[in-house]
Amino acid sequence: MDTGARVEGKQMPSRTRVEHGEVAVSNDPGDVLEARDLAACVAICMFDPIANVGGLAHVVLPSSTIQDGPTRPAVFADRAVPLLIEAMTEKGAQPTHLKVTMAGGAEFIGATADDPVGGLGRRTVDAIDGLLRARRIDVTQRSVGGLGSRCVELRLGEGRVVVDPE
Amino acid sequence: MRAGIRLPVLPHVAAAVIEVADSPRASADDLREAMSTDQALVAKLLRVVNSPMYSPRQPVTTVTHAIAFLGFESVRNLALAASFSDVLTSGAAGYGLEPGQLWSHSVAVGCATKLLSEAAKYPQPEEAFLAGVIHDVGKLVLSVNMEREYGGAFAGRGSGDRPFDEAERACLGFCHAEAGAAVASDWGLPKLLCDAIRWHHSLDANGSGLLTHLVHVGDAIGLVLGYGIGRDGLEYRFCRGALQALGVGDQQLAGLMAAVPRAVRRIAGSRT
Repeated sequence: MDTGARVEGKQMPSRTRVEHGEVAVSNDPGDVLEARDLAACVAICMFDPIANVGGLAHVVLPSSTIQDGPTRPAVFADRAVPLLIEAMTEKGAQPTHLKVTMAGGAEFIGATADDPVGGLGRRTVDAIDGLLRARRIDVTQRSVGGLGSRCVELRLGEGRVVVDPE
Repeated sequence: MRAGIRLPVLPHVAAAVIEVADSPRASADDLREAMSTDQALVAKLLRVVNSPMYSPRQPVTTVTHAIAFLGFESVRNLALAASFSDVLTSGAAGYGLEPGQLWSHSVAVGCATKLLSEAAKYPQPEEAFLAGVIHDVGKLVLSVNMEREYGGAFAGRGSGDRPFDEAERACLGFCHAEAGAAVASDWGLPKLLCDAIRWHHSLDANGSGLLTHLVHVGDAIGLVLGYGIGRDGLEYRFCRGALQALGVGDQQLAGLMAAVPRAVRRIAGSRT
């Protein structure tokens, strides 16, 4: 099965675009991991400033309750979060050191959380919050909700995440 | 509609395909002949037929093979959709869409609408694909006007509680859906398609047909997944009643939302 995960080091290009359902992790300070046009999707960025390891997951749906198919596991929040943490720790990161940013989760005008399409972003954000809370991992930066789409990039060399628009 | 707006020219090969479509005695040979002048179009058609939306056991390598695999009417609709790629690949700066972004959105909505149509047991999935692909053609028409108006009369009118199409109407006198329907009608596309384009943001305004409901939900899926997001963002209302009208449940919906990115990658390539 294509896990969609890419755990690479020095061979990685300096800028890696992380598409729907993908996870990317790097410890190369020259790397930038980015997710563009998130809309209702949610980017989870993690960075361990001690190990200098960063990772990004581009999440589409809150849970993997649908049947398994030829879909990247990180499409779903409940698979993306453990997959990202596992890939980070394989590179030497410690869960207790992680700085976490969440961005995206836009929704349609007047959408409620139970709206299957309009409220998708909010449900995905809530699902990720719950999954991180269960692992005692705090979200240190968040830019979620609203009507507009966002782009996000994790600059490993600077150890910071830029969300546009904030 | 306000005078001075130029409608985009119908691609030559699309005109030929529409002519085939309009002829009750048209055959597979006529369709193959209509497409024969444009091998790039044939390649685009075959990319769709070989995509995960169909997953043929053996690669489909010719138009004849495609017709044998899917049938004449289906291939005609897919060919028509593919023939609009050049037109829709141009930018729509007025909507904040760079070249390629409108095509990316069009393909995503086409795929989502087609997958939805199968879940809803709509009899012509390729017609749904075509409707999804061309639903936002009106943005090409209004782009210049939007560019002029965005910093002026339109500034700030498209945010908050008012949907973007209503703000367009307030500022320009009509919205991109209305402009798109006018273009499609001018191109000689069937009324069913023109109606789906016209009403895809305003389902309550008419006794919307199934195709319009499909495009409304397909468009919403394309937007939440972030394909071709312009300055209008998600500033629209989603009508939940459309899902009930289609009889598509939450699980089916989640499954096809997960499937759309893979289909788009195979048809449109990497995202733009």
